[in-house]
Amino acid sequence: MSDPRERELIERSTAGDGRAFAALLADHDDRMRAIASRMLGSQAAMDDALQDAYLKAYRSLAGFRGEAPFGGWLQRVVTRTCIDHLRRRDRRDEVALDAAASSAQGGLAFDDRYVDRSALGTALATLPAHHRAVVLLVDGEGYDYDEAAELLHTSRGTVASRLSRARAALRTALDAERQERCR
Amino acid sequence: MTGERDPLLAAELARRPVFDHRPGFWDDLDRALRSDEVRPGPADHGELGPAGRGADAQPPPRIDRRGHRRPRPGRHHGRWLLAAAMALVAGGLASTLLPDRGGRTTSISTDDPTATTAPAPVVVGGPARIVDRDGEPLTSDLAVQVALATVDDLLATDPRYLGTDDADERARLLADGGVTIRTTIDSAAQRAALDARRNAGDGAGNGATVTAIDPATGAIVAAVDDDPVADSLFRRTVRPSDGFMAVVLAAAFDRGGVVPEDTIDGRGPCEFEMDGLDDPYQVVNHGQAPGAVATVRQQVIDRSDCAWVRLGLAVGLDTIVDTATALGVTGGVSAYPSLPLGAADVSVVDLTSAYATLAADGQLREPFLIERVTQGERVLYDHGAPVAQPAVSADSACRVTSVLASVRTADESEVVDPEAAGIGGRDGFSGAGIYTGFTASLAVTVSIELSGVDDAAAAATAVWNQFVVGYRPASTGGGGSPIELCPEPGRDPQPVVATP
Repeated sequence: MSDPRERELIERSTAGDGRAFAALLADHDDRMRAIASRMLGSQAAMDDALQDAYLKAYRSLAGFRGEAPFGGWLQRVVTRTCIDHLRRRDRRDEVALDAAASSAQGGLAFDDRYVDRSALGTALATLPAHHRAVVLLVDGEGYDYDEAAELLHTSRGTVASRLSRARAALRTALDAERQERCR
Repeated sequence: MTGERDPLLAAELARRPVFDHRPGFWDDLDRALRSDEVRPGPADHGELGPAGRGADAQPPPRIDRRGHRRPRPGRHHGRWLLAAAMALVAGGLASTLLPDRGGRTTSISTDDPTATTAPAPVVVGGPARIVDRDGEPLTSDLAVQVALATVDDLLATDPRYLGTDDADERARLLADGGVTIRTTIDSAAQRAALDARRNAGDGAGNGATVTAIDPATGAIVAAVDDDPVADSLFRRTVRPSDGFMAVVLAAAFDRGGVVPEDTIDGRGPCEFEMDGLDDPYQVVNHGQAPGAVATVRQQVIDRSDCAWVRLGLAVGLDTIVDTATALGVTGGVSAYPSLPLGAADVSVVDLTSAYATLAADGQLREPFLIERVTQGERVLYDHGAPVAQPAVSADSACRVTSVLASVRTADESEVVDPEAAGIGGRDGFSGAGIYTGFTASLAVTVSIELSGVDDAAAAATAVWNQFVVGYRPASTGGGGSPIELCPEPGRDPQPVVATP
């Protein structure tokens, strides 16, 4: 941890200074929004997950020992929380939820500013959560199989098999969408 | 970060939109961060890296799953209660304290009328451990991916194993509940299956699916599979082809009154007028053999397609489906005239289980992969003693065994185990090969679907043989003996006539 400002903010945060922690988060928020947006596909889901993750990170700050970059540690917390949210959402009608959430913010239920309505976003939404999570981690965020397996609390083989199936389903969906566009 | 990414999908995913925060996000977060309830404390157990717990750190408030605060127990409850509280907080506190979309902060009741001082369930902490039947961790070097994926699938979808209907709670238990899942897998069997694949047929067995079940219990002792999309062994299907003949024979002997020495017409080519079909169903014997009238036993040895279809029609296609169900085949079979030739998509577990049932004197014991789930000293699930269900009579099972043993002897195949009974075949459309059979203590299916193998059936047979020879389970009790004298039928042989 070489950044003196970051080191100071972490020390103040660990001592219970919430504003210092908010400032620390702001430095890394662009990256965390990118991760949560791509994993969850809507503004409402992203905000929910990041609130969860940021509070969890604050409470767990004692677990950060400064041996690795704070951004990497925070990214792991955010990623893990996004996986939890994916699993929870899989048991609900997430499209309806996203639409309702967006609608509550101004009647823009199908506004691309709030929900990913791309072909890929739609195709991802049709995958089971455990398949979606693995493709988002490996292909989206660049984790290797072992890292993804650790984050998902499963085996490397399970990651490989789920990834294979998820990729095949996504390619099929995207090919179909492209053919539809070319007509 | 490695090159395991799919570049096209990675590019597509990178183009997904990045959203801005909703208005008020930072204000709400700031309020939550300044709340007395959310302060830096001990690290989350096992999730966020090594815990740096200070000597005077206080455990966080205990919050139940409905967001209610629980009284803190006395110190004598020990560390496991702290771990339990931390695990609960990790799953529930953050969302409990989150401001809702109107900016209001959800309060936590401190007067929960249901609050109790009873100890919480024992939570040891840490991610779930999956172990073999001897308690040793299942490791990927034993190529147990399909077994691990199946366990994963069972735990995620079946509430029995973790003792709760709450899917979130199950996920939490698996992630951080210190749960141990004892499977039925025998690592020695896994090793033997891998050796058999590697050594049989000059490598032609690589890629074989090997599934082995103990007939005495229904326990799945080995599961090896390279199919990258098989996320559950119970959904892994194979084309049984000749391997389905055991089911047809069981139907004929048990429900059709047929005995192995009865005769049936195997002449071909043959065709059958079927209700609902415009054109007759046409069958050509393997190798365009002319065929002959011969005993059922001989027609099975000769792989006479016309005799098999005639036998199936004589017994009744619905009867065959019913018998398959009784033997443990839970789906994938339909009453089509090609069914006696094995034209079906059957779960590899179901097919192996049907053979295990025949090995166990016709007594079906449901196949299972999870023996016991524990959390510390607490037992969340125990499979218990297997329950036997009569599928076919012991006499019928004996007769099927007798015919399959004749096939092994006549084939002069690589199956050298003198107690083995089984049959192999090749699917004419896909070229996939299969060998399925049993000894007194093991039912095994080997399937090879890889293209590029000249004779997949021979390769499957070789793998089957090497596996059975290489793996000698310690326990052989409970199952029937495949090779034994069956009761006399009490009548003279008679012709079996197909009546579509």
